[in-house]
Amino acid sequence: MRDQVLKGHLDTLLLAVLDDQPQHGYAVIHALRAHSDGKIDLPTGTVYPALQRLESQGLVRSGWSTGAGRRRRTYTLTAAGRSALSDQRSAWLDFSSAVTAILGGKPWPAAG
Amino acid sequence: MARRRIADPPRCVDPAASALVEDYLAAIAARLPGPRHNYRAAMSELRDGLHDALTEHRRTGVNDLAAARIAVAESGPPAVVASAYAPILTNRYARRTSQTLLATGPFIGALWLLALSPGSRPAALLLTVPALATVLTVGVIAGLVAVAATGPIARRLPDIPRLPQRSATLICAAAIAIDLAVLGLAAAQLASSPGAPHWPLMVAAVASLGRLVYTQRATRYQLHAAR
Repeated sequence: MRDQVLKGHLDTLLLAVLDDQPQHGYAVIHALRAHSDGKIDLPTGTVYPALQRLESQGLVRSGWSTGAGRRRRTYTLTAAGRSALSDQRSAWLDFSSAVTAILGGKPWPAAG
Repeated sequence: MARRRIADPPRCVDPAASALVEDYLAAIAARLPGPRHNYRAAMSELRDGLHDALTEHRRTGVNDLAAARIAVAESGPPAVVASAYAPILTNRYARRTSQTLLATGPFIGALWLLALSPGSRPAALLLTVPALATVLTVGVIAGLVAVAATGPIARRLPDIPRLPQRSATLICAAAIAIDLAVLGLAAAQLASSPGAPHWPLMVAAVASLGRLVYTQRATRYQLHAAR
């Protein structure tokens, strides 16, 4: 998928991935790939700054945890993030159904 | 490129794989704005992700070096990764600089009040040099704007390009102007009454000189980022 197309939706996609449970950066990248059947495959190094941007906006919060002798930064959706995700999800569903109606190949109604 | 140690030591067994990861992180770090402490946590997280990717690729049967090559390729070119981090890090540095100056301002102000106008109200010092009050007000407002524009409420503010960096530059300039002014007042007072050392004045001067060192460095970064 084209990077430029993805960039506009990356924040929403990241919020959606974190909707179920807190995850660390690499798990988020994995989830994006897995849920999109590999179609969303951004340079992994650009996903971490996107998560940090969401954190600075108060949409996710992060904390360092230690497990198996390693420190990991884990991201959790905040209440503001959940609300933003809900808004952006509705907006996307409206937009995509409108675009699908136009591009879906149905015959155009005859002009009156 | 000279290899710089960014955060934790590399976690691969093969030194060539470690070197590959280190060089990659150093190439990104060399392109990041601000002092090293501003991006240390980001580099640590990036290293952690590379380690995860490397471990995963090793499971497919490739050796450390091949796994490191794949992990680095997946992460993206250093210039691309650095440019993704740049806005976050410049905003973070502008926020941190503004918070530091806003937090230390009252403390340094109190020291100067004790040194220059002991026993009088803060207004007395500000009335001595009326421009100080204006510069102080502008600086505080700029600092608050920089903090607001880099925090959660930024989503509700109009999107003004480089607002945090410009505001942080303004609070730095205000701090420098105030420090130079009060140091000038102190020098004049010492010149007019030579003799025994005036300890409150010395302490306040040291605090202002320390802040001058901090602000001149921060101003250079902010000006660079604000361009």
